[in-house]
Amino acid sequence: MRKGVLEYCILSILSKNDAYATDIINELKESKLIVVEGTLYPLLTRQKNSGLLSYRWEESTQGPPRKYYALTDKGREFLKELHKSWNELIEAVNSINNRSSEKNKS
Amino acid sequence: MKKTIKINLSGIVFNLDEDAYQELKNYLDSISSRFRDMEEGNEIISDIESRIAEIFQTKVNEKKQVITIKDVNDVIAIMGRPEDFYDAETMEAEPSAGREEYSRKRQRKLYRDPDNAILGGVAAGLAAYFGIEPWIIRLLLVILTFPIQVIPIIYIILWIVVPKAETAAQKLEMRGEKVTVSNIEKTIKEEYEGVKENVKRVKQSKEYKKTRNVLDEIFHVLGQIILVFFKIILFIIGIAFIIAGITAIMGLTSVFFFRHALFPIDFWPPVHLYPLGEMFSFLSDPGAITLFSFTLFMAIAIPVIALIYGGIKLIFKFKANDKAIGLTGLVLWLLSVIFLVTMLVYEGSNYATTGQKSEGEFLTPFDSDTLSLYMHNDPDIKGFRKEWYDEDEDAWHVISDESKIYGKIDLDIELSDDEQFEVVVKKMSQGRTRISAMVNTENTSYRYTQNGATLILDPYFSLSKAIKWRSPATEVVLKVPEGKYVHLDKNTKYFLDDVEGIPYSKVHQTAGKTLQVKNGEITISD
Repeated sequence: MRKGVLEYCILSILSKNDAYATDIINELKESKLIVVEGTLYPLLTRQKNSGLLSYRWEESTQGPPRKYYALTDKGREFLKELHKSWNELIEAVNSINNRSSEKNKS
Repeated sequence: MKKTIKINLSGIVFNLDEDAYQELKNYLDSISSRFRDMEEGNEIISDIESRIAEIFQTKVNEKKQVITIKDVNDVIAIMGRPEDFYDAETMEAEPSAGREEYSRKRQRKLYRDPDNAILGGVAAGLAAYFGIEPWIIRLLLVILTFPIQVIPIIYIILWIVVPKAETAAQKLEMRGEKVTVSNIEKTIKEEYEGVKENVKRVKQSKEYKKTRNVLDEIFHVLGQIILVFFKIILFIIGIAFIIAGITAIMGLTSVFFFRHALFPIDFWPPVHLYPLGEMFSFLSDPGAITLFSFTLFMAIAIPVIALIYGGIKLIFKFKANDKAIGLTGLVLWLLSVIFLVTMLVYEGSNYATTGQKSEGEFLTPFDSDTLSLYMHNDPDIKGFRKEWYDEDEDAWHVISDESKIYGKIDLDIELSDDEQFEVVVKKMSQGRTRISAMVNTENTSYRYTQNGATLILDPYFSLSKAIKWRSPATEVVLKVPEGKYVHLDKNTKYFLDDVEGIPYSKVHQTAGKTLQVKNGEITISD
């Protein structure tokens, strides 16, 4: 469950801008989705290997060269699917919540 | 003052305090053992390393150029330990497996402990290795020195080859995880558990038809099982090497330098040992023999010590300059072998040529046609046994007492051109040159006595022990004139070497019989 959410968030972050690992980490940390950074690297590598992401090297003024990740077409497709199912899920959850609260009222 | 270690992380150089380095290394090891089995493992590891490099860069500046242990701990807190990572497959946190692996990395290594040292710190180091008090090891060493006298030698070997724990990290390693006998058992059990785990994983992956290749898993598990067996076997081989090596050294030392066996137990059959030097003193100078035994000892002991060292290395893990040690050993060994060969060639040249000297003497005439010949029944030689007359098939043998060495003679019967009985004593010896070989023949002495019509031969020629043995031999030839008889006593049987005209296979049968010389031929008369 959480893995799916994390992957969804990674794709979502990348759909706005290309980013390198630390950017993604910072966003995820802000929204308290991850605690330790080590978690991210296996996920990124897996997504890249399944063709959702591509990366390019960019020199950095401070530190080692950075791996900038970008969504591939396949990744964009997949993100759309995820959006759809995420919304469906939310609707489903909401409708259950609403129904049960209506029941409670009556 | 603190020692720093320079490392290269994702192409960027950092200076780390030694403790920081150790901590980082352990951390990265734990990461790599967490991911290395995965297909994309290497990529993940290098991504993580490059992130760590990035964090380190924010930690150094003009004033602070060295990464401290605190920085490393910060990084670990940010990145998280492998056990805090979510499993990429199941997203379940793995609570303990990773940490166990992490701590197991800190295996103990054998060092010499300079802080608690009395001599070289070997005992203190061993104590730290086994997690016991140094005095126990010291007491054991001292007590065991009585039955196993080579313990001081082993101590010195360890002193030379085991490194001293100088840095903080080495001292930590020295006191790392316990490696006692019960822990070895535990480790093996743990590894066995690990194998069992893997077997389970194979089953699960079959049941759930995970994408992971089942064959791969099976090979992985087989590999683990083989690894465990291999480790046990290595351990056993190590112990065997040490025991065999120590036994060999003790045996060698006994034979080479002491009059008695060094072993606390008696051997069967009981061996009466002489030091080599004493045993071969009749061959060469005592000095040369001592030198020879020492070199021979080196030539045999160096490979044996290498065996012990190998055994120790199989059981204890420690860093040592194997190359230098091996090279020194090899050079010493080659030197002793070359020296040995040179000495052997030199000694051997003492036997290069043969010299022979014959002395003939006519017997005093006596009133009989028959000469009676027998060997002296009771020669004045310590260690002489009469049974040798009845059973000694040996072509030659040597006996010795305090002052002399005795060698068996050969007896020949020949035709004489003369009219009288004649005894010819042929003395032979080896020597470096013709002349020295001739001179050496003078060193042996031989006696016979004539008593009317009887001739009594000494069965042995003798040689003073002060004179070097140059393979001497003595042949006694009795020349019998035409028309005379000679009666050979039974006790001449094993001395008879040649009777003219009698086939060699029948020579021994002439003992106890009378020979007749008639028409220029020797025949057995009834």
